[in-house]
Amino acid sequence: MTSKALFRRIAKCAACAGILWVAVPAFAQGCALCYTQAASASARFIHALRGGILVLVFPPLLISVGLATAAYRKRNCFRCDEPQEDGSPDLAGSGAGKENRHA
Amino acid sequence: MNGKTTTGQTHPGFLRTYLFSLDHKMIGKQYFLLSLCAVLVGVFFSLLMRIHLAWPDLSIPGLGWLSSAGAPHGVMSPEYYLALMTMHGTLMVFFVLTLAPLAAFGNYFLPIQIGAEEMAFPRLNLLSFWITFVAFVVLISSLFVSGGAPISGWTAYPPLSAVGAIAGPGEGAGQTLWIISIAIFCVASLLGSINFIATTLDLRCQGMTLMRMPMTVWAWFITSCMTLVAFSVLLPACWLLILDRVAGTSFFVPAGLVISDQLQPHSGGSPLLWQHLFWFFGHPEVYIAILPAMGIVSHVLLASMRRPMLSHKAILYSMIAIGFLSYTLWGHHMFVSGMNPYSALVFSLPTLIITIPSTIITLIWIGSLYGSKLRINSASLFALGFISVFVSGGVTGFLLAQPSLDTYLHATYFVVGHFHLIMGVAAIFGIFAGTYFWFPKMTGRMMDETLGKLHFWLTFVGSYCIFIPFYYLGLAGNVRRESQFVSAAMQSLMPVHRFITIAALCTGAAQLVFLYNLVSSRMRGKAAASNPWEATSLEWSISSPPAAAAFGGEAVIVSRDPYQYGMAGSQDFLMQRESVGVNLATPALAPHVSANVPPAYASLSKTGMWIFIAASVMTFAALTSALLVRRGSAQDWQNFRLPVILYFNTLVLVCSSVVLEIARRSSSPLNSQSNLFGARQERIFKLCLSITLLFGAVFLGGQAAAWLQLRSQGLAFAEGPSSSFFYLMLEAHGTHVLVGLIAIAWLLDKLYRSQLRKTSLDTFALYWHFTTALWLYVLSVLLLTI
Repeated sequence: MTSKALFRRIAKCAACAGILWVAVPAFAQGCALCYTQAASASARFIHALRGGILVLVFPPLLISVGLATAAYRKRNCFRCDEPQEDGSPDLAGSGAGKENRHA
Repeated sequence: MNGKTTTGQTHPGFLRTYLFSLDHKMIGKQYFLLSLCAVLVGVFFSLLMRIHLAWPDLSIPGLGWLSSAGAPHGVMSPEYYLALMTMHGTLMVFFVLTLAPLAAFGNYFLPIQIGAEEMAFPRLNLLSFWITFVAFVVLISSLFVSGGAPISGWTAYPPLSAVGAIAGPGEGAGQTLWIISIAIFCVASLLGSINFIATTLDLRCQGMTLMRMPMTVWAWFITSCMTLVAFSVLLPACWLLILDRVAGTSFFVPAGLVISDQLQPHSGGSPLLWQHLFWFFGHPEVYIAILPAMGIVSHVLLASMRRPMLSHKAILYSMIAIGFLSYTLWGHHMFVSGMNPYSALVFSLPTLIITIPSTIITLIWIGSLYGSKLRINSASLFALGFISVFVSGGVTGFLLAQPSLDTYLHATYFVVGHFHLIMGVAAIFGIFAGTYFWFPKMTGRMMDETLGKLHFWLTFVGSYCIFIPFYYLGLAGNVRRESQFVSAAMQSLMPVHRFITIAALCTGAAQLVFLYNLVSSRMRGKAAASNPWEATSLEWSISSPPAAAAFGGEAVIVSRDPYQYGMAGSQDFLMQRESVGVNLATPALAPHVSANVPPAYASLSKTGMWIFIAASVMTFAALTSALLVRRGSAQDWQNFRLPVILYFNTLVLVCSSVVLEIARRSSSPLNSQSNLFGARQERIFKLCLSITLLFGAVFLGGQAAAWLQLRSQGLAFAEGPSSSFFYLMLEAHGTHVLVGLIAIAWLLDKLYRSQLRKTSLDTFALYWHFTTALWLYVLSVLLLTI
């Protein structure tokens, strides 16, 4: 890696860190109604709520990454007009191969 | 219902053609008509509410007939006002904004725009529509049951929505029907999103790389991903709410609640748990409503501007960013203070940056429009109107993002103006733009442009006359959700309310112009050419309206990007579809196409199954999240020893998976074309599938035994939150196993008829292994928490 490229990478990382740092004082602004209700709950509930929120954060992120990966891997894959010899639908009634039925 | 023509050809009858057609185009039209019905009812309710707000003592003719209890002598009661508000919100959010731009236009045009003849799973598609229809009927029926429609708003906040008829009018059968309707709607939306994602990933025609997909397809694809995640969480939230109402559980209802002098038999639930789950759905829902409209507007603008966007990729990446960030955004709703501030980064950062992609898209639209030779027609006018109302609604979001201002404005009409403009009116302008743009393709006839432009100007001016004064009312402190304003301070605002009501009535009347145009153009409109707008995407390369097989069985070949406008020469555009006979191997035409690329069709069922698994994972994550919140905050949590038989059941289920996997790995198709098996392998499969079926049945029997054992120890479903979650998770998982057993029976049937395919076996094995893994997860959660 050249020193110029290294410098660019460091600059990008610094910019990201700067954005993160700026975001700290923003905390989590948002819905006043939910916020005040949650904040007025007991400390125990607040703790439990945080745990519940974190449990719901990661699956969508993983699913998003999974879908993005699948889309990327199939970015150049196209439908193949594969014949279905018996003309029967598969497990979920796949529409592929319908072209042949129309034809 | 099949009939025969004089030439001897069979043709499908009325039912198969119009009601139960597998044709994605007909299903798209069905969704469109359903949304049209929903919007008519929803707007009618809003007009009734506006009339009541402006003239509270006015007797509205016919209203007493609609509900003699809710509106005696035609004068609306406060409860009936809330019921109409609830129904208006529910109809518009779920059955209009979610359905029309995604399900209606998406079903009709997504396959065509990617060069496919059909959706990935046509039967699932048909099922999805009819389930949606049932949800609509169930929702409307809540108006006519004893007690009337629910009054707890489209967010259905407990405890009002959870305690039952004792809470007042509408909270009996009406509220139960509301929840059932939304739960049914969730199922339909999930089925629809599985279809959309699988179709986009696996059924694209030759040359249609991801980057060559039109903006609309991208928008539908991203929205479907969001739908998959969001509705997978709303569904279990609805289960919990129904159980609180009918089974006496205590997920959302707090202890010691006294209603009508009666102590409610609930122990220590929390309404905040519902807010936690509901807003996980609610936040992406805003973008689920607006993203397809963004795609449609981009598509329409490109055809009208006659030149490419300033940056096609920037719009795509911005839409992807919106979809991705919308999941993480919801945490800011309730992630409360007192935590490590650095942990709050996860939520505060997306809150800050989600405005950026929306701003980028808007700026690109405006920048691209600048200096373009815009063709003014009804579709482009509504696209421009979309940008206008999107900005007008969006800028007020910056104000509401400030906690100090939001605390004051949140319960006022300011918020009503904000979300109506950015989410409601903007999305509806997108729907109108799509309708005027695609009507010629869908019907083969042109809409009347003069009437269309009249409709636009009346709607555009009317919308601003309705919603801009809402900001003034909000700043003046006018609270929302109230049916009458009796204080002196509010009385001074009544002229503004009357102005809004008159504007709403005029705007509502303007929609009659659209309806007339829609019907008369359908009947007597000028015949449309195949490409009246000189647009480039695939739908304009086929006849108007498209034939049953849209591409006539021809192999569709795409060799260029979707928006090739502004070309020099007699024709300023290049169609995306290349003429027949183009050699795909020519690198200059199809740089992405390679002979080594594997066909996508073989993986279609697997893709669908993976998407289903993702939805299922989200559902169980939601249940786990609810369990953790309820357990962590509970005073009434009772731990109990799990029945020993559960461990035996676990062993049985794992063994069933092992047997199935051994069979699957030892299989190889007799013929790579047919994917069928030889006689010896069929015998092995019969044995293995039978063993799997047996093990699965034993597992279900064992689960039932565990259930009965706990029941005999006095641990009923509603005994406490721990038992409620235990039984609920067992039931949810048991349903997966039951479906798996039915699938095995189906596979065996295929096997006995020598029709079993390797693809089917692989797909089922994936499902069954997931079911086993899911049980291991459920058991771990139960062991750790109960």
